[in-house]
Amino acid sequence: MKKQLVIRVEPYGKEVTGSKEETVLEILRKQFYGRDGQPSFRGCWRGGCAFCKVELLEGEVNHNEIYSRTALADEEREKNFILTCQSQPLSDLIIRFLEKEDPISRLIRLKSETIK
Amino acid sequence: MGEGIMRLGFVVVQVTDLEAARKHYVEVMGLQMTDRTENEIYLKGWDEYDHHSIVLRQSNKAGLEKMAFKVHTYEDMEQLEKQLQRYGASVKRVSKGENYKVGEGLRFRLPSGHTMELFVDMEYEGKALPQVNPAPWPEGLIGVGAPRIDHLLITAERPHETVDFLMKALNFYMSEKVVENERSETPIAAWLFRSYTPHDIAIIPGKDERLHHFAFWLDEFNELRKAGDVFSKHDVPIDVGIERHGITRGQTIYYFDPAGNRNEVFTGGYIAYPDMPVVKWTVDQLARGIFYFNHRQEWIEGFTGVTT
Ligand code: FES
Ligand SMILES: [Fe+2]
Repeated sequence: MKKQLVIRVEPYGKEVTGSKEETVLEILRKQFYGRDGQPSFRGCWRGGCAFCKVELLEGEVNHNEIYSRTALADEEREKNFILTCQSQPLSDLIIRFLEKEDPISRLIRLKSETIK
Repeated sequence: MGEGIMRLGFVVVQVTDLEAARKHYVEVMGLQMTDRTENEIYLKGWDEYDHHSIVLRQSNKAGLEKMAFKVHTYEDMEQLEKQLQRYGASVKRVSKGENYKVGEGLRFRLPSGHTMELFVDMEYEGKALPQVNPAPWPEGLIGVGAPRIDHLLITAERPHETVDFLMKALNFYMSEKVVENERSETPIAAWLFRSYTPHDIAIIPGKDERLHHFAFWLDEFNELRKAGDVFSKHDVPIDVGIERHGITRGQTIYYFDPAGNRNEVFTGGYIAYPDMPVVKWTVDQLARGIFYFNHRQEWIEGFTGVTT
């Protein structure tokens, strides 16, 4: 059996497991997105859109070099941000999801809250 | 002023792996590669006759490098240059050939920071059909077989400024807009046209200079089903669809190219005339404006927040 690595997803404190052969995103899609109240995954899988960007708090990944520097700037990469769609885990990991800010959904949310 | 801008001419799109992009746009989308250099690929759909409508450029970034609109005549372009200057744009002349196979033009930035160009002439390539007694469609289409490019959607930090600029300096017409409530006029987002479709360009709130998507036209709703089949067969990540837009009434599938740029296959919608009364969408009904069937908040969040 392949060695199972543990990935802890903050700030939810949820743990998922996977192998070095998979990308972090593939692991998250099987065990995290769309479960326990998490929305389903909605990114490009291709290193272009930054939807999958997280902060790597602990552990090592093998990060593919072909990805958009708009999605992940070199300075961010140096500060241990990664695109999960472009990363394979080399060890147990702790990652932290980032706040997303999107003006249209904010507007819609504000409206639906005032109506309720 | 004569006829002004005619249509979206071409987009220059940055891709992080040119060969993967070629495979996708040629072998999945079924576009025709009309030329290539080491770092660029020129593409057109089977129903387009100008040399290209899409340029793919190798880059370490995804996203839109620029968009270019085709203008009827050089007199029109001169007139537009004056208007652009009057509305505060710094306009650079583009010489013939600076864009491969494209004549003289103008380059400037929108208030949102996006680079836009105007041009009048592009080398004629011809459709994949003869001009005399053509069949309705050509043999040998590959994959989706998209006939042409249709529109693009960009994001802006202050959409109303860019909307205003496009309407005043470039004579775009508005088909639909998003507003706070029934009585408000300021556009939070807007759909603009110069052709006879409900949008050649649309602007939604988001980061400046970003591309939300560019879209290919398909001739009918059943073609969307075929596109979905092709996408799944080739493992193209589908973002949303098949869906219906309340705004423009079009039908759609959104998906990503190999660099992570969002694309759309789009059909339907109404004929837009310059004198059409503008349709308003209030923010409380906006989810339905975006996806009429599944007007769900989570869908909208992944959709409007993701750009290249
Ligand atoms: S999913 Fe788009 S960059 Fe990873
Ligand atoms: Fe669109």
